[in-house]
Amino acid sequence: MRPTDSPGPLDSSLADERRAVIERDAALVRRVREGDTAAFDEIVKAYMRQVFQVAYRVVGHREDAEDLVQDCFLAAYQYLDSYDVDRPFGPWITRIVLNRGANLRRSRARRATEPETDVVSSAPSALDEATRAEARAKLVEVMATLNERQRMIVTMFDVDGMTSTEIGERLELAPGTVRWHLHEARRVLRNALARFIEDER
Amino acid sequence: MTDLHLHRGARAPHDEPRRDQRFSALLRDLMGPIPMGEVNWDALAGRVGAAIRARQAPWWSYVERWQRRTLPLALAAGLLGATVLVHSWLTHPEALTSAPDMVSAVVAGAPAEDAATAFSHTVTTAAAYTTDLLE
Repeated sequence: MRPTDSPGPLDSSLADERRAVIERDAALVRRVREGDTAAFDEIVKAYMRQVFQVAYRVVGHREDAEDLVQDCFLAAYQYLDSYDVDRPFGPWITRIVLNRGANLRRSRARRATEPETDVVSSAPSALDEATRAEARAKLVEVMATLNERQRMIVTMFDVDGMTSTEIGERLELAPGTVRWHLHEARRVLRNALARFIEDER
Repeated sequence: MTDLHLHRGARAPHDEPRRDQRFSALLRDLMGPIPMGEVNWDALAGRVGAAIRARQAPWWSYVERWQRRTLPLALAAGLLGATVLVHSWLTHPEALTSAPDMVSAVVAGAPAEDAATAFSHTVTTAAAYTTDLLE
């Protein structure tokens, strides 16, 4: 719930927008259930960027993330009968990504611990290469101790710059729950990475 | 929120958490950005669509799905039919041989009404035998 008692004009327009998206998705899903596969193509086009963002953050590798996107849309198509058309589609498929992504990451653990070299080396950094490698190893180790939700929330907030409300909408969680998980994840990460945070100065 | 909380400078529970630039910078440095620009979105959408169409069940998959149940049923029905026929023939051979006889008789010039009556009697008898057998 939002802190204000009555919705302002911005809240109201966001609510209208959200409702329009839910109605559009519901209409598409009904068409798919009636056998119109082309309607599912529209769902894929509408959500593939969002699904890829989450998939990439889960598996940490572009090609794996693309495979995961395909796998998740196939699963969504297969289990579309279980989807409640009165609820937003985004959080539903995001849950599929998180569940399947966790399995994929476990099965490809070695590759996932090595982010794409070109991406990492292109980022400006105060750390030398050896320290970054050490910090990255530590980050992977600590991230593994967080649950999937905390890992995703801290990444969305602190790396991708999303707000707690945006994250809540994406994961279908109350903003307060998002903030609590964020607090917990940050506490664990800050403790583990304290030395490297100082070095970043 | 109470006055005490306000006095102490505590943040309301619904406040957005503060951004920590150094912490964020380190995580971004270690994790890297999401390579959105490197993805061929049209190709990816096409790949997903193709995978879904490939997985769609062809019409004969329904036959495959039901054949395990229908095949034994068809075999049982066939066996039962054969048993009934053999039994009828063994006990009352006229029930099976009379039909061609009726046709021959009509062709030879016998009254059609008599032939029809005899044929219907044969069919009724065969049906009665079958019912008896099933009971």
